[in-house]
Amino acid sequence: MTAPTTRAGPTRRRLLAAALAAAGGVAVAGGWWAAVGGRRFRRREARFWIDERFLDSAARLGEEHLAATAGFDPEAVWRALDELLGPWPATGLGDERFRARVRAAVESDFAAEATVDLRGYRFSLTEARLCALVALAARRPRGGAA
Amino acid sequence: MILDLRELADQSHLRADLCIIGGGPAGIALARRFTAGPRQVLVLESGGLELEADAQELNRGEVRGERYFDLRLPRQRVFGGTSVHWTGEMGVLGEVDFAARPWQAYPGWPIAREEVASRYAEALEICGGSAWPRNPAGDPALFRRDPMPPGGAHRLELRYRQRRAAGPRRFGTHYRDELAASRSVRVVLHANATELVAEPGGGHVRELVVRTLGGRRATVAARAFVLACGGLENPRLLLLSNRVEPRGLGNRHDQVGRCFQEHPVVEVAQVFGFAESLARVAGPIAGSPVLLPDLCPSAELVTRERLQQFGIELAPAGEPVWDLDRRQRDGTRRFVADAARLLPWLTNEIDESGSRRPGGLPAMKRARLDSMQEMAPDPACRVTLGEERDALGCRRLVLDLRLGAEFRRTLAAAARALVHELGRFSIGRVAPSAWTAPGFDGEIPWRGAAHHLGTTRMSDDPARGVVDRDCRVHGVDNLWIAGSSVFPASGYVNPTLTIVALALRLAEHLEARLP
Repeated sequence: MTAPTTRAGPTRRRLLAAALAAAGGVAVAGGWWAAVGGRRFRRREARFWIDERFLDSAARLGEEHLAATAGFDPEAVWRALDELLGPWPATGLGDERFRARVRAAVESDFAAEATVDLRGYRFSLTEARLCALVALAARRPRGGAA
Repeated sequence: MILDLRELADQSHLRADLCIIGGGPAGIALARRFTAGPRQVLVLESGGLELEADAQELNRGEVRGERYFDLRLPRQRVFGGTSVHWTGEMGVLGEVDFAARPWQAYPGWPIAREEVASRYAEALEICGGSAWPRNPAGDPALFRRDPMPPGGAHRLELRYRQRRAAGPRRFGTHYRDELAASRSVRVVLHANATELVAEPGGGHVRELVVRTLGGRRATVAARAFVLACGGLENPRLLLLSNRVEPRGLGNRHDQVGRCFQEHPVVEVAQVFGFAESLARVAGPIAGSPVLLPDLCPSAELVTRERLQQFGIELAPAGEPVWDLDRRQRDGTRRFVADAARLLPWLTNEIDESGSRRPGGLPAMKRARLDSMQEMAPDPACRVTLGEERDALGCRRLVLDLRLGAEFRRTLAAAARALVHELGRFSIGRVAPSAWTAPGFDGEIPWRGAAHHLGTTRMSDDPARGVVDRDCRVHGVDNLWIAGSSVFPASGYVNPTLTIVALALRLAEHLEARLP
């Protein structure tokens, strides 16, 4: 549909709004999602752990963990994950060795009984923590700071 | 030859070399070994060729303690016995089931597994089963393809039972013609054994009294008697035979009827992300029978945590799991769906580019898993006689059923092991049932498997059992027992195959004892 040319004011406002929306979309697509626990947390970075298509699911699972965990400390969790998983490669999910490290950490959790109870189901502490970070990121206004 | 006691003269006196009391799988398997020999064998069956209500009424009894079946239901007085409602599921006892359990007050099997295992192949043929695929260790009886590498503190192993593809074999119909054609074996229907009459001193059975519901009476004299009428009626008949021994025949040590065991079946957990993953390790095997995969504790786990056996039943390959998501539409369904979406990545079903691998998990279902549990021998869990009498004037039985603390502890351990093993191998995630929590002291919703075990248990020590390693009643020189009542430890598997294997072993023993 073509905008009426006789009403210049509203048309400019619409164009400005459309430009802002487009800029926001670019920002989301470009990577900033949130900053959590003092670390800038990119959507792309989340893909280090979880397939991007599943981020919303991870966020919902993470909310369950947050609700069940009083005093969740994102900074401490980051440090623990750094120690557990080592350096994060730039290729994210494409790095098989990194994926193997995450998988090994999850399986080690079960072997060591480091599990958390979410809605009755037992999850690895590591996977619950990862999901909780995703959930925290999803709570923040996109592009905002911690 | 097949006879009917109702058609014989009252006060008949029957003679035989061997008298088998009970025409179920144990009695029939035993009798078949004598069909062509010189020994005269009598098989006495309480019922007829078809189920009859008045015969079933004789099974009525009182249950105390736990809730259980009406006792008329799980046992069948008919030629063929309880095989008429058998599911046809068969399993073998493993080494772990025969291993000593020094932490138990009552000892386990006094014989090596090989004593039974060497008869499993013939027993399988009698039961209509198929040979298990030979496993890499070369054990033809126990196929075990173990997907679980060692190292876990809660190690579970995969074992298989089998189910006959053509449906359960009904012993009565399948073996009727064979026994009817025998000149050595006579099957007598409607012959209810009511008393084993012992010589003074109680060390020898002189005769057996049998009655019909119509009032006819007969006696049987034999060189050897074998009780083969099930885990409830075997002890009942010994207790009823108290003319010489006031506490019952073979019951000087007050062991008859004690240590009753069932195989309680309990929901142990709900799982998701499981069935398809496991299908890769427990999938169909070419040329094999219908295999029923179970997750069982390793010997190490049993010993370390002093557990009883259990088998967490998985859906047979190719059969659908119970899909709870079709039934439940609460928030948990969404939660599980979200969690299940994350699992493909962990289970390596997503490839390096983030795409789903061909043949990967199509849909992750939520399923309920049941565990079939072994009970610890508990002398307080027992069969006794009540005051009420049946139509034959015999005291009805009382079953005092107690699951015990060991049952609860083993159930909790089963759930715990399932959580960790399925997690450790990224097979799925587990929600243990509430009653598996340590310390749970509420009522556990369990159901019986209609397996009656342990009430005349095998033991070298007469103070800890009823029969010796040859299945002969301690202190009675011509009375043996066949059936699951002699099991001192029952494992978790369906007992029919082991019942038949033990009957074959007993037949060989009796062939040597009755030249």
